[in-house]
Amino acid sequence: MTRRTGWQRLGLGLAVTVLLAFAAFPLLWMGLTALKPPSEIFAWPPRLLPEAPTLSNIGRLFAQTHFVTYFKNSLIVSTAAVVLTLLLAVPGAYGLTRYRFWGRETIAATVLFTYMFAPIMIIIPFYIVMRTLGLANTHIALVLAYCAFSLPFALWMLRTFFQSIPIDLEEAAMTDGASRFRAVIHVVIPMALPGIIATGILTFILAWNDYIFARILISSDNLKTLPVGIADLYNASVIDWGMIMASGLLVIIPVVIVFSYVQKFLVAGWGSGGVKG
Amino acid sequence: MAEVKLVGLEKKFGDVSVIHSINLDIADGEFAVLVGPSGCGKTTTLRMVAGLEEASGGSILFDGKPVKRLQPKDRDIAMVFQSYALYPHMSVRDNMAFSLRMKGVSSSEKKRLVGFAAEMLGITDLLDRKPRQLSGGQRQRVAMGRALVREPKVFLFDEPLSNLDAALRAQMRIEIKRIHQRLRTTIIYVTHDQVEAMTLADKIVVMNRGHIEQVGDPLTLYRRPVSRFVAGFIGSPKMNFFPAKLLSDESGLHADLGDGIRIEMPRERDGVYRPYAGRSVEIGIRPEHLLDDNRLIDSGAIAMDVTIDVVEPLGSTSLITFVLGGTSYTAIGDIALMRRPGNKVRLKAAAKDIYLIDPESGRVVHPADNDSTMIRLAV
Repeated sequence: MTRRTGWQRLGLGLAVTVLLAFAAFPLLWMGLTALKPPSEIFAWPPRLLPEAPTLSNIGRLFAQTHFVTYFKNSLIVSTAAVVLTLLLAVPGAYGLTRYRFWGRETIAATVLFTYMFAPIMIIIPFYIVMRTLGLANTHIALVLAYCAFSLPFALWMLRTFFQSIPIDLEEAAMTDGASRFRAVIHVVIPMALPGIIATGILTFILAWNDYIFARILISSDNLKTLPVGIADLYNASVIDWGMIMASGLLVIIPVVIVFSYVQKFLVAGWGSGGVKG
Repeated sequence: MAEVKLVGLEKKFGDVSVIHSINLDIADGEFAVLVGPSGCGKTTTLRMVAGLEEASGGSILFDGKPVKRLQPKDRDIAMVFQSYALYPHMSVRDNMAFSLRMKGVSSSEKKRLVGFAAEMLGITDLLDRKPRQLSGGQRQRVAMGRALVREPKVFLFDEPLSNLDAALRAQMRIEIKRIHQRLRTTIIYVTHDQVEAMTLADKIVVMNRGHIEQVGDPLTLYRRPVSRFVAGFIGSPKMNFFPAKLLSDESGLHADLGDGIRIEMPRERDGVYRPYAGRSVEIGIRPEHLLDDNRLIDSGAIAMDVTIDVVEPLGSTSLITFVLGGTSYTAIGDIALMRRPGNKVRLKAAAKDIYLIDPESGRVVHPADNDSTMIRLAV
């Protein structure tokens, strides 16, 4: 690689700064606004840093809205969606990798085809199915929706991981006295763990951030998840921007924590899954 | 330990038959080596014995009991894979103890068995390492240790040494042989390397295109190969096959190799060779029996005058390549003679070391066991 000249480095630095500002500034503004009293939020000229930082926005969020309920609902639904998706995708992807059966390659190839449909096209039929089953306005419906939506991607991603695990290892475990099931539990799953974690995270983020399914499938206020709950804050007669920003801040915190904790798995997972060794 | 019997064993992939009804008996405690070129079906056969590949027909018996329907885990076997197949997320100790964990063996017993196997293979100081921290040779030892710990009825080895360098391979060969001498467990060993087969086996099974060509102890295969394939496969360098015409005159039978080269056939074999008189045959002579040597061989020696094409010194001897009728052949030379390409030399072979091959059937025409040339061999 050739060494960059001073100008090239300056240009690169500038480009990175612009990109970073473009992406991160709204987040920064949101975080700082959450800590400003209402009078400062609309102050002109606008100020970046709060003059008198306050936690009153967060306090109002907890006291006057069902934020805690929404948060709890989001956590339950997202976690359940991750568990269900992985429970189905891990054996499914394993089967698509290891068993020879008619149509295997076709299934594997067309599984991603489902993403050709926008969620909005699926949601109404899905709602009708849920209503018929008596599951409309329940968390189960949401979990099923997230699972259905993330399953193709999860299958596709995990299949790549399973393919990268040499079959010899499984066969060695079987000649070592393990049943196929135990060979999978003791050898295949530990080796595919980065991939399983990466898939779980993507499912979690999809479920955590979803607005459209939750909007249509859930009507009771006490069952709403965060994105819908927060959106409803706009519907009040007086829009409390400080509170909305505070809720935004609290919504992204768990995602940031989860991401920073599992980042190494994610990178290892994407790297090892992508390259067949 | 177990006696292994394959009866009419077959394997088909769809309509393609890859193993054609083979029969094989391996005695309790025997070291059997399946050898053959790639694609001959040796690994498929081994995998069927292991239960990793489903047999399409026939049966597999361990001590007389059919095991074909048993899962690999229930066959009481241990297998060493070509790739070693060590579990990368486990330490060497956990790799070796894996089968014991599956069996639910107590931890004190686990410790004892792993310790015993590790000591036998000299890997005690590696027990806490991960496979990625080991060299190829060490990985190979761990893979063997994992199999040893299991104390199985049958050990299965699938080309275990093919990823090692030549020096390490020779060393591991000795270790495998030593382990077998100590444990006397039945071993089925797959390799494409005939040197490995010759040095390790009690019994060699030569396979070709899904058939068993010949089964026998190494020396029998070397001395009395049944077919051109076995004759060419066993022995290094490969046996020379000279196309010839078998002719008869008042002095007896002789083979005309062209270029004025004539090989007298031993009189003792007149009876078995006579039906081929007047026909095209192949004359097989191993390089180590075709010598450029000034010493006399015996009264029945045959000779051929050739021009040297290439000389490869090996230290104690040299390999001499010469060309007849457009085909290269090999002989062994005395290094002290300092041969050079272009030299004309007289190669000699003892009459007993000549093989006659029927080119139509590919069979080697052997004299009867009481043939005097063969008796000389056996001494």
